[in-house]
Amino acid sequence: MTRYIAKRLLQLVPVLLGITLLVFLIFHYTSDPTQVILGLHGSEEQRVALRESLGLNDPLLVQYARYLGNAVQGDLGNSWMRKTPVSAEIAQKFPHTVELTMIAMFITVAMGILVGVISAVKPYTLVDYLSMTAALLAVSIPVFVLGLFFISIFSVKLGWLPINGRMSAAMLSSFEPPTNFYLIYSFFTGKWAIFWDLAKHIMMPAVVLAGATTALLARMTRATMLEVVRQDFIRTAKAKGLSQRVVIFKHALKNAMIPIITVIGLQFGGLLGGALLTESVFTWPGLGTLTISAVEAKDLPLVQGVVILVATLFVLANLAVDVMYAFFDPRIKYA
Amino acid sequence: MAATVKQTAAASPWRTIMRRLWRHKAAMVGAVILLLLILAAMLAPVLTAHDPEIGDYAKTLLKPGGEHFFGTDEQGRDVFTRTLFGLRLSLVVGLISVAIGVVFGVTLGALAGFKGGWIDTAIMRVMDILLAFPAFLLALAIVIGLGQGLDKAIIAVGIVSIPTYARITRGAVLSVKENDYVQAAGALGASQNRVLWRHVLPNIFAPLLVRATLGTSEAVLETAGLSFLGLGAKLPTPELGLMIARAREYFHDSAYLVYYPGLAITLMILALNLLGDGLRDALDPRLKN
Repeated sequence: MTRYIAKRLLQLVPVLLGITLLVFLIFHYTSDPTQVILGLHGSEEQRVALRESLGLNDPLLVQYARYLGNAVQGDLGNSWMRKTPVSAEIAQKFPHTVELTMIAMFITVAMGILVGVISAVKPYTLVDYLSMTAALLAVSIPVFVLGLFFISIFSVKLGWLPINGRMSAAMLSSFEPPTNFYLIYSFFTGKWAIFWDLAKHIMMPAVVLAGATTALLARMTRATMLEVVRQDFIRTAKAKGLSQRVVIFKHALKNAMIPIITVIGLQFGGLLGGALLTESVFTWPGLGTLTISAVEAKDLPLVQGVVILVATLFVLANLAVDVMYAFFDPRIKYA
Repeated sequence: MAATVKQTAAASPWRTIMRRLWRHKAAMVGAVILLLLILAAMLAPVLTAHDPEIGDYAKTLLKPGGEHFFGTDEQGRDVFTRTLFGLRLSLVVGLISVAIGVVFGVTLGALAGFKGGWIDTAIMRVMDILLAFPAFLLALAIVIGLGQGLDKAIIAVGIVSIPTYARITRGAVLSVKENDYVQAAGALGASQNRVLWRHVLPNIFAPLLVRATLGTSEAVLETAGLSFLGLGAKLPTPELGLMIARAREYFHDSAYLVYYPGLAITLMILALNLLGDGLRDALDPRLKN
């Protein structure tokens, strides 16, 4: 198993090389860093000096190799627009996005599997039709439309939840956490007023972000469960006199887990992409908002940093899925 | 008896598929919605007398009703007109990006499958790299490079979909290539091009069609998302994602500015998804529960 994981991690190397080279080339031919850093007003001498100090006069391959060499040592360079280290920028924004996507992932897994199982246990009933129609709608509605729709109902009309942002401005002054994992920190330090405020802020974006992935998972779970419950071992389990709950959750669901996990792994990428739009709708101060501003400013080092992080996460998620296969199906062995 | 035999012989696979599709209620609902949307989009210039891009500053932010079914926006433009033209644009956008994906994907997949060796390895490794990245983020990265604009967003969304089509095609080529009748066709002097058109493409037409239908809905969704972020269409183009992004500023009092374009794009994606699922069921009954 360890060898297998090591092998898979090694396969990450060409993927990262490819994707960073792609972004590197795209930027090399389309953006002028001296313009990003100096703006339109820099003098010609300043530009020449800057090009020299950034090493932009070296051959392309040398520049790329230098970038890689630094990146391997954890130095992703400095952001062109903010002049701060890219790794610091990312480290600061990442926790906000992690909390958002983790809650969305939790909603996806819990609700998706539950709804899918209920639909499969009572197929072609009203419950089944209603949940599958809702799932179809959730897959079809763009995340930014759903987000604005929710805001208009729960914030503007009912006034239950805040329109956007990470937390209330009033709370922010009395809250100085050592980490940007606000929700986790306030929970473990028992600051309940702040925790509740944070929870109210994260609720809507997390549900909106989870919408499409939950729906996809529910449909997949239903389809797989319907196939599994027809098999002989389920009939045997029922004949043994086991309760419906044990048959469904211990016998059927466990055997339906492989395709379900695959979908969960694939949806992780969907969540990361969706987070970009969700963060924009709810002005969430995470990686998505950072990426968009970096893109607008043509800030290559910052975009590269985000790209490397996201690609790594995506590949790791897929690896986690493959490792979990072996857990749910002992017949699968990796050597 | 003789009549039955004749009938079975006459039923081509296509007729069977069409019959199955016809009986698939959800797919038919999707087809009808899609047809209505296409009609509305095509007849946009006839259905409305207003200009989609030029507004009347005396009539800004009018509530829906009267002369303006869907109200007017912050520049006094008719939202109904803009939504119709937006639908039209989204349909074109979806079709072009899928066409990019299919043409390049099938070509690369066929090349990889037929040639094998290092060509195969090179093509498929590049495809793997593209697949190792969430689709929307990859499209975003490509748009950064190409520069902002609707045409570039379409190309980016098209490129992102290439690997899927390439994989389907390569797989089919590899499985068909070894068949005796294809070997025979080759021995008789049929070119690889002929083998591709006569033997491979007919075999993968079904999965390609299903993928392309669902791919159209993904393309529409992704392009609208890029425009929503300000990386796609530019004002005053009546693009649905862009319209919704603009409407955010007036959201508090004029939520209808989000609702109508939002409803239009949701209906379109819903219709494509229903049709795509139905096609899959009709073309491959084994997948249906």
